[in-house]
Amino acid sequence: MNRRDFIKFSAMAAATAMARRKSGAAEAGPGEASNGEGNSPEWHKAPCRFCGTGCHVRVGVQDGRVVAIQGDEKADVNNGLLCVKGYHVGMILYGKDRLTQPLLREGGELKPVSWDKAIDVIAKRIMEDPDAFGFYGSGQWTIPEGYVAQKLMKAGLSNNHIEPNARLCMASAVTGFVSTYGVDEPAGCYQDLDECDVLIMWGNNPAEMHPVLFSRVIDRRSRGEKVRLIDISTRRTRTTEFCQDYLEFRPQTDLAIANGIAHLLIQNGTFDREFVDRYCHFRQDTEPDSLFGKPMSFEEYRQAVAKYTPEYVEELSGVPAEKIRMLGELFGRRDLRITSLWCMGMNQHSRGTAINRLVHGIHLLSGHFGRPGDAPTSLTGQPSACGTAREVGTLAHALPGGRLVAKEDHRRQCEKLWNVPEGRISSKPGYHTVKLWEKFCTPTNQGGDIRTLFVQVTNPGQSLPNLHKHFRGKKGLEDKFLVVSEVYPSASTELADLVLPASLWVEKNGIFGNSERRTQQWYKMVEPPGDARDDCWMTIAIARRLYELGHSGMKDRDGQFIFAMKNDEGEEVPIWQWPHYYDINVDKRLYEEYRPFTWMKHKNVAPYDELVKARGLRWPVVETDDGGWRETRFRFSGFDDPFVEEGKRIQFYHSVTKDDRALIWFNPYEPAAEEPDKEFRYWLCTGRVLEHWHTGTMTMRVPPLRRSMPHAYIEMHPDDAAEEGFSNGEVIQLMTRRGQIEAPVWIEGRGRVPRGSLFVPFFDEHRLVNLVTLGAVCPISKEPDYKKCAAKVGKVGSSTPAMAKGPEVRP
Amino acid sequence: MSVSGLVITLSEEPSARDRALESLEAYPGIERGQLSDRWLPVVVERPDDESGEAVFREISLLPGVEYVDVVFVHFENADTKQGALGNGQTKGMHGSPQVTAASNR
Amino acid sequence: MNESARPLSRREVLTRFLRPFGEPLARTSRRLQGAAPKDRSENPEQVAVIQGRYCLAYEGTFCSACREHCPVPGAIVINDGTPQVQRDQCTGCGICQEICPAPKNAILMLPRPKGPRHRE
Repeated sequence: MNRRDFIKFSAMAAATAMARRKSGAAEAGPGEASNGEGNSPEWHKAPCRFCGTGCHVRVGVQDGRVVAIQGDEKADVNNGLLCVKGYHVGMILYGKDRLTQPLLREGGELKPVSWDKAIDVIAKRIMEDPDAFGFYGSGQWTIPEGYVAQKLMKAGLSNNHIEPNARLCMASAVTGFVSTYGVDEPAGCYQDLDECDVLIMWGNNPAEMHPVLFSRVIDRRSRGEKVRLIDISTRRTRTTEFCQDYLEFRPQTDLAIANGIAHLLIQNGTFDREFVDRYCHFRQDTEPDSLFGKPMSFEEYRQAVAKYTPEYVEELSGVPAEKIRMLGELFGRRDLRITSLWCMGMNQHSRGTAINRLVHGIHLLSGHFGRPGDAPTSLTGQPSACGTAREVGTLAHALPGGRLVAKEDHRRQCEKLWNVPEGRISSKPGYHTVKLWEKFCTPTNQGGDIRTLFVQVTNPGQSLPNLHKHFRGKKGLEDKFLVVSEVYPSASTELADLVLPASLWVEKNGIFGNSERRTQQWYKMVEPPGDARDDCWMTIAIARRLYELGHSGMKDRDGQFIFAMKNDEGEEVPIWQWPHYYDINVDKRLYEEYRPFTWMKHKNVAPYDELVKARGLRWPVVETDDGGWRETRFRFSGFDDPFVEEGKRIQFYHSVTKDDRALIWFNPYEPAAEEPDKEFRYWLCTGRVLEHWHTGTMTMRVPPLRRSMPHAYIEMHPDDAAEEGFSNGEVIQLMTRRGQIEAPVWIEGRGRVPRGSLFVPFFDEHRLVNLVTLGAVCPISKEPDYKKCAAKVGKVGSSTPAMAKGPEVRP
Repeated sequence: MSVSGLVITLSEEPSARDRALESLEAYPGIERGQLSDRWLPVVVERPDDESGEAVFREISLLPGVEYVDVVFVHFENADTKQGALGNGQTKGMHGSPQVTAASNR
Repeated sequence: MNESARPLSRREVLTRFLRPFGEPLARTSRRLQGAAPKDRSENPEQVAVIQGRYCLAYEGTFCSACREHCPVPGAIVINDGTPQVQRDQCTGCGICQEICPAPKNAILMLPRPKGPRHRE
């Protein structure tokens, strides 16, 4: 054998050995071993645990562990594709430091206690002062979890201090939809992305935040379809690289850009007169601002937007007048289909409701509404921000199914559905998120009337704005008590007095609702680790303990426990005892109890058993003559929505004005709550990155994701860095009037900010950018602006931060 | 000269698998080994590493081919150097649970 | 303020900005975590190869982690959303392989032929 043959022989030997190993089940990859081979995993369906896109995954389970994840090819949303986080979603269950037992703080230290003790401690805190209790959850609550929390608070404790972290995320989108259409949530669906000719992204970076959705659009291009992508943003992102147009605006001036488009549509006579005449009214704000404002005439509207000439908009925003004209011309064309996408850029905005209204307004004014591809569509960041926070209404002012605590008839309906005595539900809205935490962090004798807070499925210690004020202020307040249900130690558990270990994702049954009104169900597949238990169970167990302690609110009109459940034989099942919790499908019963709440606003969600069969169904889901169930893709459009009257093209059947018309709002440009000045000369924007999901509690425990994006950074323009004397990777100080952090500069990394701007992601618990953010909120939605405040930078150790010397934050 | 040992993962679908095997016949410098279920070991011999890599890429894209794993690479240059890689591309599997990339797009 | 949609190349940007002590994020990370930077100096004997089958960007989802973390401007370029290694510029440091977040690591470090290419 010569040398060359020897090498070839060695190559073949290595390849053959590997091929044999692969064909043997033991070494085979999960996807490869899925069919007919012994020892292969069992496959189940579930929506991904992360963002609001709602991709479905196939979960491979073997020997009681999740061992494989695949994109689900049967799912409409993602057709088998996943993003980098989604491929790794199974690993979030298996971080080394999962919380596995309840921990109670004693003498400053967290010490293990029994579940009985833990539940008893919470129930007694509530009994002591029921009105000083607050419940803080999230858009990651499953629908049943949010529903039990909602019922415990509003129907049980007559206490409206329940909020989801969605207030930090989606509240402005909600107020935008409600004040425009009279009812929440997008009319369109993801099909709009497949059919639009123009896609406008308003301060939105879907290539990183909703990659699977964005790939639907990019795929169209690679198939040769023409689709024009326009990025209207304050920094270059991964999304920008795919766009034909990039319009970079000065933060906050998106308000002016939208008004500029409206002005051009009217001035050029290219607005859709027929659409506006038949389906719209005009609105403006009252003083002070209100959700529904006051009417204005078309003429008044015309005059209000007339000021926003392309030249004036350029002056405010920095976007060249010709680009504003380009947008005006595009919207003026009826032969194009235009979809607008937005997410946190428009929502986390001190004028969030206003910019949401304005973008809906230009779509209505130009008639770009109600046909596939013609849609103003907001995306959600959490898997069930829509399904739970918005639909179940786990907000301080809301009741399930789009109802409001302030409305008597809504309260009566809920009391009836819940079978609790009339007058049980309090008419006074509770504190919105920022206020709730502010009250919790204020000493009781100084008006801090929230004393006990129960946090589930979210990490406020990292995600609240201005953490010194809204979270860390709790430190040292002896009579305040923080309960945190978590899966891993986090910035929130650090200050917790009681930590409860929670089941995560497929360790429990669940139902999520995604960005396009799609309700998605999954079954428990593996056991939670150690003594971890379901959040839903925790709430029910607390309610039961309150019932035992004699709290009258835990009984319904008939004296029954409000969460009493019977099995098929009619016997009561003690679901508050963990060993019996899975004797029946509690999720299904809660969901079926909740379903009738969704009918009033025509948000009819599908029956549980239909969800079991489907990869999610988009509401309203109605029964067909043949006994099947039909979902709705385009709400308010006669060709698809079953609730639109026969023969009508468009019908806004929950119209604010009760005449089937939507509202086109005028809101002026107003400056940001804090803008750069001589001392704090940079805009500071915060946000997310592709690899990590929000505060990184889960994704930072996934080694490939952590390696790829190990820590937060400060994105800076190279010229600014040169001027400040920073080299790439140098750790520097970033300061605002509220505090300071240290992080490395990253120049020309992932995003590119313009001069005078900084960007810092918020996923890193060791570099908490929310120590320095502002906390100014939209006056209507009460959602904080995380995208704008004034900052300065310096070498490490160069200066002491100016603390709390600046102008006081707007409440 | 470059010599690589590859393992080709073929489609589960028999007709696609046959098509892939046929297309592989068309490649010069490919020596086929014994098929184990749907994993086919091959040896690719090329005058230089550039074209060896091109073959690797082309094979990856053949209809009926799901994955190509490189398990052995040998280069021969002026200062004759041998490099053998042990299944380098699966190094990314960081313990359990294992995950697999989608292959439909 | 406004610019056209043409993305700036790293090279263009970096010629404007000299970074004498620049270091890649992966290395900064180790330093921040209190560990000494792993020796990832140049290794002229190897070169990075991206395996399309495993690369997320090639699969249709979005990822550019390798380009962003590559310490050599221009050694990894993105064309139509997919990263490509420019062999003549790759120094063989292996940082891209270290940080590749794909389910199956898409970066292969292959031995690089040295000196004049031998042809048969």
